[in-house]
Amino acid sequence: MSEDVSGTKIPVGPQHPSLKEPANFTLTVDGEVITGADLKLSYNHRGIEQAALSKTYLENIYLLERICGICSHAHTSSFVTGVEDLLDLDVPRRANYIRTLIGELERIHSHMLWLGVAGHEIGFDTLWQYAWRDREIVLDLLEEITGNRIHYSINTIGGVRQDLTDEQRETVLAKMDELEERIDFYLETVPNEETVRMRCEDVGTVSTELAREYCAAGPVGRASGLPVDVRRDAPYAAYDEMDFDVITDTAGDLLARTTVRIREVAESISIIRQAAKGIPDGDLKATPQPMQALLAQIPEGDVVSRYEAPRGELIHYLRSDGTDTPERIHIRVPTLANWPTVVEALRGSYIADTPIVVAGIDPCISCTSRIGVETDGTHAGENSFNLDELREYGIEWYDDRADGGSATGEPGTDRGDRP
Amino acid sequence: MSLPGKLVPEALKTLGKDRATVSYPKNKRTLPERFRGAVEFDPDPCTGCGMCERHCAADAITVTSGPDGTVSWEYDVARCMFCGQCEESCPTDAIVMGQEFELADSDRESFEERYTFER
Amino acid sequence: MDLATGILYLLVFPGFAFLFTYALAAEYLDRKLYARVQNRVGPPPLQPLADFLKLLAKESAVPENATARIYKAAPLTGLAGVLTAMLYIPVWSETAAMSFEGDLVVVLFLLSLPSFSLFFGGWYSGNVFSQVGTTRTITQLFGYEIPFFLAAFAPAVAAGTLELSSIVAFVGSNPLHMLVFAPAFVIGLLSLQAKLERIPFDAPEAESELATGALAEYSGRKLALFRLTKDVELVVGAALLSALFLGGPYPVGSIEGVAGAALGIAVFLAKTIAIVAVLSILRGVLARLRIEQVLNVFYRWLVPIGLLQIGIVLAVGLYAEGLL
Repeated sequence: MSEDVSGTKIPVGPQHPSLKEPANFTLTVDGEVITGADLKLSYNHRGIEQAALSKTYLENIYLLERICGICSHAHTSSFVTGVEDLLDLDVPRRANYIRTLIGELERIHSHMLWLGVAGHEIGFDTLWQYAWRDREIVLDLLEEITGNRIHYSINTIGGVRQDLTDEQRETVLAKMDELEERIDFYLETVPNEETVRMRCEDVGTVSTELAREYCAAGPVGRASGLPVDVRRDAPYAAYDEMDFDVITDTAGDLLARTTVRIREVAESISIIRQAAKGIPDGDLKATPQPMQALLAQIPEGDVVSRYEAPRGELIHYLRSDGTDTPERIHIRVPTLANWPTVVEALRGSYIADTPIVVAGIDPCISCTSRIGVETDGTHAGENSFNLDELREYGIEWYDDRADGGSATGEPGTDRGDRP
Repeated sequence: MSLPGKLVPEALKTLGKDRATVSYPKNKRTLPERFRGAVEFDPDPCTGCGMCERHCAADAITVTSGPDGTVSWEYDVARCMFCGQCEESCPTDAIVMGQEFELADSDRESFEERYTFER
Repeated sequence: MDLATGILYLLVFPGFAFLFTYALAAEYLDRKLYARVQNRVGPPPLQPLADFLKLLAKESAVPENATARIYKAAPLTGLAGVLTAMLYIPVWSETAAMSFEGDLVVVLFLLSLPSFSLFFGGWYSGNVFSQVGTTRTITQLFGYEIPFFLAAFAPAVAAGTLELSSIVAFVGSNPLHMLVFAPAFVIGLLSLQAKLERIPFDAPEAESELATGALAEYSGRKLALFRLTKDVELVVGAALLSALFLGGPYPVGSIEGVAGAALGIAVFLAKTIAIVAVLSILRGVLARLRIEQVLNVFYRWLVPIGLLQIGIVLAVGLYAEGLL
C-alpha cells in the first residue's frame, strides 16, 4: 500500500481544518500531484473491545452503540443479532420490521450528513446547509420514535424496546413524502451543477478491478461497479421481505459516489414506506423472560454477524464462554476496508483534492480505530497473535523503546495501525 | 445538462422562506413524549431490588441498603448516558426518563442525587 | 481645489469615513444575503463593526520567522491603495472628486495593490501554508487581471479617452452603449469576484485545505486592516463597475446642484448595492474551483470574450461614424 516513493512529504493531520476526526496522512508529492500516501489511523482508539469484556451483554449494547454516532444502530443490531443467534431466539416479525425501519432511517441520516460534508469540502457551503436542514426531517422522526436523535437505543436482546404507534406510522409516511421531494431536487441539481462536476468528475477514480482486489465495501465499492450489499447477499432483519434495488455505478469517481449515495437515499425511502405500510402485528420481544435470566443462559460458542451499515459491510465477531460477559468481541468496520482505496485514489490526484477524496469514502475514524498488528511469522512461527501473546509483545515493544532501541522500523513498510 | 448556477432558482426561492433555525433559548422546541432526558426517581414504589444498578452500563446508579432497613438510591447525572435501560429494568416503575436536558453546571456535587428511605 | 475641499474629499466623502461606513454596511449585506440563501438567520447589522472592534482589541503577534518590517507594513499598503482609488471614481455626478487623463489606469493599478499586499504579507509570514496561499494568490492574479483590464478598456475605447470622468460623461450622453458593454460587465463581475478571492475563486484562501492561506499568521490590528481592505475593495470595485458599465449616475447625471448630488448619491448606492447583492448570490450557488481550473475559466473563456468585446466596441464605433 505504501511503497518507498521519493518526493516532498507533506503531513496532513491529525489536526487539520479539513478532517472531522484525527488521522494522519503523509502525502508524497511531486509539485501539486500526489505520488503516494501513508496513513496513520488509530488516534481515536478508546479500548472498546477491551472495555466490552468486563460488561454484561446487556450493557455492551449501549457501549457498542457509542462506537460511532452515525452507525450506532448498525453496531447494536449486529451485536444483538449475534447474541440472539447464540441463544437461539426467534425475533418476532414486528420487531424485525421496526429494526429495518430504524436502520433505513439511519442510512438516510448518514448519507445526508455525508452530502453536507462533501459540499463543505468542495467549498459548496450552500449545499451543506440545505442537506443538513433536510436531514432534520429524519432526525426529528427518529426522536419521535426512539427518544433520541443520535443514539437510538432501540435494540435489546430478543427484540426492540419501543413500539411504533399508528400515529407515528402516519407521521413516517408523511415525512417520507416531504423527503422524497427534497431528494428529487438533489438528484436533479447536484450531479448537473457544473462547478460540482469540475471538482468531482474523474477525481479519485478507483477501477472495478482495484475495488474488487481491495474488497471495497458499501457505496464506495458499489460506485466502482461491485454489486455488494449485505441486505441482498445475506439478508437479516426484515430485508428478505423488502423489495429494493442495489444501486451501482460504473465510473468509480467521486461524482459516482455522490450519485450512488443520493440514489440510495431514494431506495431507503422506498424501503421505509414498505416497512411502515406492511408492518405486521405482534410482540416486540422474543421471550417474556427478564434480562437476567437470558444473560445467564448464554451458551459457549462463537458467532459472526454481518450488517449493511451506511458505510458498507459491518462484521461483528463474538465469542462467549458461558458467563454473562463476553470472552472476545472483534469488530471489522467498513471504513477500514475502504482505506486502501483512498491511497489508490490519492495517487495521481492534486493536493487540493485530498479533503474531498478522503471524505469520499465517508470515513469514520472512531469506527476504524481497532488495533491491527501485522506479523512476519517470526514469533513462535505463527502468523497470528492471541491475546496473551499480543500483550507480551506490547510490553516487550514498550520496554525496547524505553531502553532507547529503535522501535519504529524503517519508514515506508506496511505497519498497519501500530503506533 | 451540466451548467453552473443550477442552484440559483432554489437559492432565490429560499430567500423568501422562513429561517430554518430556532432562536434558542428564546424559543424552545417541544420535545416528543419519548425523549430520554435526566432520570426521575420516585422513592414510593421502589423496593430496593437494585436491578437498575445491575443493568446500568455507565455505573451511574448506586443502591445500598443500610442495617436498619433503609435503602439509599444514588444517581449521578454526569455519568448517565440516557439510554433508558434503568427505566426498562425497574419492576415497579419507580424510575422514569424525564424531559430535562439542560443539565450543565459548574458544580460537580450538583450532579449527584441521593434518596434515603425506609423499606 | 482648496485645502478644505481636499480634506473633505479625502477624509469624509468619498474618502475614509464614507468608505469605512459603506464597507461595513456592504459586508453586512453580503453576509446576510449569503445566510438567507442558505436558510439561516445571518448576523445582526452591527456585526461587521463588532468584528472590526474585537480584532482591534486583540494582540497582534509578530511570528519569529517573519520578516518584521514587510510583515507589519503589508496591511496598510493595500488599504491605502483602495482608499485612494475611490477619489477618481465618480459618485454624485459625472465628475469624480479628482480626475486627470489616464486615471483609469491608475485606478486599476491601485485596485491591484491589495493582492500584492496580501502576497508580501503572506510570503514574509514565515509559514509554509501562508506561502502556498500567496503562491495561489499571485497565480490567480495572472488569471483575472488581463480579462479585467480588457473589460475596463472597452468603455475607454468607446469613449476615446482614459479619463474615468470623461468615460462616464460619454456613456451618460450615449446610454445605449451600456447594452454594448454587457459582456464586459459580466467579465468585470467575475474578475472582481476573483480579485476579492470569494467563492468560486477562493482557492488561495480555501478554508478546508489551507486554513486561511496568506492570512494565517495575522491577528489583531493587522488582521482587522486586511479584512477592512477586503470590504473596501468590494465597495470600490463595485463603484468602478457601476461607473464603467452602468453609466455611473445615469439617468440623473445632468441634474445640477444639491438636488443633483443627492440624487446622484442615491443612484450610486442603489447600483453598487445591486452589484454587491449579485456577487453575494454568486458566492452562494457555486462550489470552489481548483487553482488551475480558475485559470482555465479565465484564459479559455473570459479572455476571448474580452477581445471579442473590444472588437464589438470598435465595430459599433465605426458604425456610429457612418463608416460601416
